Amino acid sequence: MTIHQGLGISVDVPRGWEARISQAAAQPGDHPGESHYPYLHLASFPLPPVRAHYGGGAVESMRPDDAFVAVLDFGQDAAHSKLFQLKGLPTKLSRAQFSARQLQRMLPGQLGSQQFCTVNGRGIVLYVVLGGAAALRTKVPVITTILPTISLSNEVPSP
Amino acid sequence: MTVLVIVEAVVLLGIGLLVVALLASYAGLVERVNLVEGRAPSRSLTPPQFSGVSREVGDEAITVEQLVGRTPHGDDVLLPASGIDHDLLVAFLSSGCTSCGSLWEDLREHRLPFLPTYLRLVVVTRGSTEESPESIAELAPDDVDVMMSSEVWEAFSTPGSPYFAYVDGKTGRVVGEGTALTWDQVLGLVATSSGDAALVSGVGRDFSKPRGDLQREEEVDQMLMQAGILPGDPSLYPEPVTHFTDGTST
Repeated sequence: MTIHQGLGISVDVPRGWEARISQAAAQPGDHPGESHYPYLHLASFPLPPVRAHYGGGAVESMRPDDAFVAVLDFGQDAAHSKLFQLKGLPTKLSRAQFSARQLQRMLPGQLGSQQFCTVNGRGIVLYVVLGGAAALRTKVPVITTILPTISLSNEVPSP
Repeated sequence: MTVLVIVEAVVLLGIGLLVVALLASYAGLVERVNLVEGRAPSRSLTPPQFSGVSREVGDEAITVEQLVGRTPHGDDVLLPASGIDHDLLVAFLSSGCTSCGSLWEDLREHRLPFLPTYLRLVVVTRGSTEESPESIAELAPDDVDVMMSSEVWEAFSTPGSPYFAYVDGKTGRVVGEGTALTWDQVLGLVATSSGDAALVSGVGRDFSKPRGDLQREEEVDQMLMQAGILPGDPSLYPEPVTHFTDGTST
């Protein structure tokens, strides 16, 4: 494991996994006051430099044994909603939490899991994509070792 | 009188040899300074200098676990370099080196030669204390992995830019490295390091040729590479004959 940190996020990355901590830049068409919070992407396969928050552009190239993890910050406002009422980032995932219906974009054979929670007063989404059923056995145990190491600081870096 | 002439000739010969040795030494120094400062080598047609073997520092080969840095756009990135099922081609480039200009341009214009699917290209520049992220962002295309990290440069003991290293993804070991001025020359490094002669010869992609021909071509390619003759070498493209001894011309 190697600790990787940036933009207020820290995680222990297993050998052979890739990690990227990003923050979307403000765009000319943004609404006034619109926030761009940092997010974490982890993957057991090479991530393309350009990807969407939920892995668009990356999940298309996943093999059945691959896994993709996204930790997305939705800010303080989201933390007050009922959807994010779970306190703390989940530290383990079970096979039963994965299904094709959890995917943001349904691709053949893939399985997904989406958990909503509040960490340090911020609404957080944990989104996991498995390339196929094979990854339930090989990658979910690895993800379970990663989740407890993810740390989100109180301070949100400004874009 | 004869003895005097002989002594004088010997002295002149000695002085001549000394001058030649000094000039050769000076040329070597200029070459090294150019490389360290990231300037183009004085001999523009110098073939790529790829070792094709692991570099030893002290008694230990260079191995890397991961590449850690920041993209020009501010993303913090950790890329694995060992324990993976693909190899890495690490391209050390900088914004200021003259030789890097055409390499950056080819990246932006998508003029790279065919790279095998088992290979991942990662461009690494020095960190933000030595390079401007804005300058690198202007040079780098969005769809290529580019990270800024002086630590990665140190880890590879990179002598200057442009410089390329081939990392075996299973072990994280640097199995080939060297300088190159074009991406075609870089492909030579990849072929030498991976042993994939098909990359430069096309053998394996041309199924219309008899197996014997393909094998002979592969053997010739291997012999040429072992002799240091890589794709793009000027000796492979002699001047065409335009005039014959009898006065006729083509």
